[in-house]
Amino acid sequence: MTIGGIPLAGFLTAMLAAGLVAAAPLVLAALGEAVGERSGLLNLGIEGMMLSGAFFGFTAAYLTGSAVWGVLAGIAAGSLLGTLFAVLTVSLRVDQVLVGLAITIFGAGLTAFLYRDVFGGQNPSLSLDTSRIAIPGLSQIPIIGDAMFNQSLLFYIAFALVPVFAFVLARTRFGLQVRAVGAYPFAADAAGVNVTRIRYQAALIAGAMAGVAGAFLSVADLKIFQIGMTVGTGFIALALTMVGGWNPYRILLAAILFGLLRSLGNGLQIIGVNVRTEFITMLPYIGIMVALALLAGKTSLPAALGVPYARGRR
Amino acid sequence: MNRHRLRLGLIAAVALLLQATFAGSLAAQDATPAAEGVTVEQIAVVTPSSRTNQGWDQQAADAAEAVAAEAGIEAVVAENAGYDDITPVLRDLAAGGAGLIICHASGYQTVCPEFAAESGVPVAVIENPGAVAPMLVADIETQAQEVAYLAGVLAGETTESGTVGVVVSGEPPTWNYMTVGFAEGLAATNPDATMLYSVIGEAAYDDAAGASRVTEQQIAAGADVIFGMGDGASFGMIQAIEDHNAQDGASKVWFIDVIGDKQAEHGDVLLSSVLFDYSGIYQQMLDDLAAGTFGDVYTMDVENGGVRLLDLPEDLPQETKDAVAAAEEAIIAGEIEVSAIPDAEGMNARIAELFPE
Amino acid sequence: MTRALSPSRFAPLLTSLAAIAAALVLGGIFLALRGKDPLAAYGVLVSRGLGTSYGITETLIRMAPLLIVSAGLLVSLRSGVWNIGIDGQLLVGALLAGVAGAAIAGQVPNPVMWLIAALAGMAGGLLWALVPGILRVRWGLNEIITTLMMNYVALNVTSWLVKGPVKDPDVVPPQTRLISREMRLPDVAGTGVHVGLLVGLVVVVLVTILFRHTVIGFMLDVVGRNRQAAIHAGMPVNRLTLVALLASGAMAGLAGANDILGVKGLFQGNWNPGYGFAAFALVYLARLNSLWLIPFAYFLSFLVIGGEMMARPLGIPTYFVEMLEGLMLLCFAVAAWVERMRSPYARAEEVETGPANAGEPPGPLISEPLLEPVARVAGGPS
Repeated sequence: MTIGGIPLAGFLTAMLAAGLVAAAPLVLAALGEAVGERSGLLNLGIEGMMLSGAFFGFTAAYLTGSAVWGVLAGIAAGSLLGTLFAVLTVSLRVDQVLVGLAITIFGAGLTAFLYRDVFGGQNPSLSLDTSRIAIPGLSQIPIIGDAMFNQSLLFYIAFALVPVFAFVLARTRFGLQVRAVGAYPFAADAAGVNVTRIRYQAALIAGAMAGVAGAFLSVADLKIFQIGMTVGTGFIALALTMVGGWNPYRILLAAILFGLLRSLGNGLQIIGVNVRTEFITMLPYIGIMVALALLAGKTSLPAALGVPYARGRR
Repeated sequence: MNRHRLRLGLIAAVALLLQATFAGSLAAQDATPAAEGVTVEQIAVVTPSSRTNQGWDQQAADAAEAVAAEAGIEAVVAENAGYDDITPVLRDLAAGGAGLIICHASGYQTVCPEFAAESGVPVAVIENPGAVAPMLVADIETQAQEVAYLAGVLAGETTESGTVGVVVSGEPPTWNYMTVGFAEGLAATNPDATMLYSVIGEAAYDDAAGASRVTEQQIAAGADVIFGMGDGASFGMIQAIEDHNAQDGASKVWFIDVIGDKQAEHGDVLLSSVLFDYSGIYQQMLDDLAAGTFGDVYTMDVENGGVRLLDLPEDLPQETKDAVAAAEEAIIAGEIEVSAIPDAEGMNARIAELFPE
Repeated sequence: MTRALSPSRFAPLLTSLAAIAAALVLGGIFLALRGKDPLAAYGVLVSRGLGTSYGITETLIRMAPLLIVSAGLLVSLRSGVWNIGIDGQLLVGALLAGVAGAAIAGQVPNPVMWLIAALAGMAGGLLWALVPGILRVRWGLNEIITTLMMNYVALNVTSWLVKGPVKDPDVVPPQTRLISREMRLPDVAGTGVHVGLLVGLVVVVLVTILFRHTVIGFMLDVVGRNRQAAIHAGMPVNRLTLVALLASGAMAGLAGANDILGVKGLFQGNWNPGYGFAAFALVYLARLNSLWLIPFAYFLSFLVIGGEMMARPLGIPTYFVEMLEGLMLLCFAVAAWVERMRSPYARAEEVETGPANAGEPPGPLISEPLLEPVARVAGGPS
């Protein structure tokens, strides 16, 4: 079966794969952001944290020749900025939007400067053998097999983390504390929850996940770094966190839909549907706004989102 | 208290104006009219993006440096100037002694002639022949579609699947010219071929991740030669192709690059590249400035070698090399005229004409 | 609640200056670590940015859009509205201004053309802010996300328009028809700086008057400080929120028109000056005080213009200035905290923005004794 002279099965597989690969870093970053926002931290620094994860992850992988070290470095860079975010917003109680934007601007400038300075204008690619891992059996399923089960390790981890985050947020003591701290910080404090500690942990998770999302791009997916290579992915993750209502499964759904909207646009072009590029490109962004509007009122913001907590001062 | 603050603000405003007055009177002295026949001590290039992208920006920067080294003069590169107002950069370059400023983006074609008229410093602009002025403004025209035609011939000869892909990171005139040229060369060589066309995004010049995914989708749709115009995004396309070739050695995919030369790093997938070599016309401009004849349309085409295909891989079949060489001769002889279409709509119409389906 | 005047009205200003100094020192250390000479770098920055006529002229020219954009952002931030969509609003405004201006240039007296183009620019920015505004007041959608998304949509819509319907058919690149140099904004007499700077200063003064002397400005401040209190006081909170967002969008559009009429003469595909981030830095450094925008706008403009010039002779990547902007904001965050710790007045203040604003986007830090009446109107939160 063909479509516009193109073999249909391979075409669909590639479209699905492209959508999922686009979704993976969004899922990673948005899962972390969901934990942060649940605890009351709105982090506009994801974009800067992702870029840092991408750059330091790439550099470490380049120097060591090991993808594992690269990903760890990406996590470390994200965690460091996540901690900085927590120090400034939780301990010093500075405005979260301000700190988030500052981290995004700083991260963009720092990574661009360092990439040029360290690599001296060269554009090396990683010669890693992080090639795909085909899962026996599953990867043989027609159409979806190759798209879903013949990917990099980090790809599987990204999607496997969804139920983990869902479980942690919904069923564990830590998850309960995170949600309590985000919704009723004063009550949580009165009940003996250490608000500051929980928010630090949440910020650390958000930073680490943004960092690993960046490393996914530079180490697992592309094996190159480019200045500004996240091109707004961090902000998209932020939006998808809200579209998904801080629920890991819904975030997964939103991220996959977003990724598929993009790859569907590419697919339409390939089969020769003559639509203006600009409309295809902006479709996902409009989609996010429509989704938010449709879901409005069905999800509620964590009550203390964006509000600094000061013990004993209410 | 409020009144006091307002007063403070007014004082600040007046102080600024005074400063501006002072600055303006100095600025008037900066301008010096150009004389007949000038020797350039320093050549400057303004590029919109990073000069290390092995593409549009790097080719101009490298050519200026090469020409300057040859002539024993200085070269200054102002990179990452974006599409903002570049007047501050231009004035700084002029103050630094630049005797010729290359404004290396079609987006600079208004501001640079205006600056030249004001300051008297000769400039070169991209694709604005109407602005040409003696000893002041030169125009650079690139017949890139001619070489893209050759790339199309090369792709048409090389493809085994009969499907060839074009991936672009936006639809600026330069990309559109080349897409049309490529399509015409492909259609002439291999009329039964399928040409896929994908845009990564609007101004997605840095979106390597998006480029990689689009390329994967084209490969899955059967493309085994990809003609990619991306700047930074090109690295994502190459990555996708290298990844595919490592996975599936049986169906090798080739990449045809534009503007720069990535042979050293990616020779394994690089079929060729539409090379832009500005050094010839930059040298010509310096010579013309010295002779007092500067201010013309300078064209880079196949005939003068300003645009050419990167040397083809040794092991390519001889008939492919011959077909490319024959097309090249026909273009030089004027037997083949390649359409020059800058806008996306005209481009789409031409593609539909060439590959009706 | 009683509140005396702060020990010095300039203490908040010192905080900003300390933050800038700290950022410059940290940036210098970073340069030194990367083997560059920081003193030479800052030397070039100052000698080119302040010591040359063109450095000063260009700094003043770049100041105009920064002033207009940040005055608009200040209106929205003081009203508790997070307008992250300035860049998109500016693009749409600039496009409309370019189209309208070129359409009537030469057919009407220039001042009329400028006025119409400026109004078109404001209408464009306003239109782009209207979508998130309506989503916010009708459906309660957080404007941080929607204004951000509208930026991407603006980029695509303006790009489509400038390549097609409004493109100048006589030239190759995607751009609107040129408003010739003679028809653009004239220079302030005797300078190389176009009158857009004066427009910027007027806008700043108008915003100052809005917040100091008008009821609506007062109400906007109350909404920004304490939304619940404003609701209890019977203020039309939704309408005020919308007004703040639209006003800031219109000003972003005006800034776009300023760049078209004063500098560029046309709207260009791929042009995206991205003043939004700089405006955020500016508004915070000015401590949400509109008059203080003026010196800080000069400083940031100097940094951008001088930074471009600093990069070349010393081989410092141009990205350094962007990094410095981020560092400044981070240092400002710390400095603001130090200030709060040192000031018993401000210390008490932060509590009010706490639980009372639950569920709302974070309110801006206003550490001025300007808003004292809030407590009176609302009877004090909790």
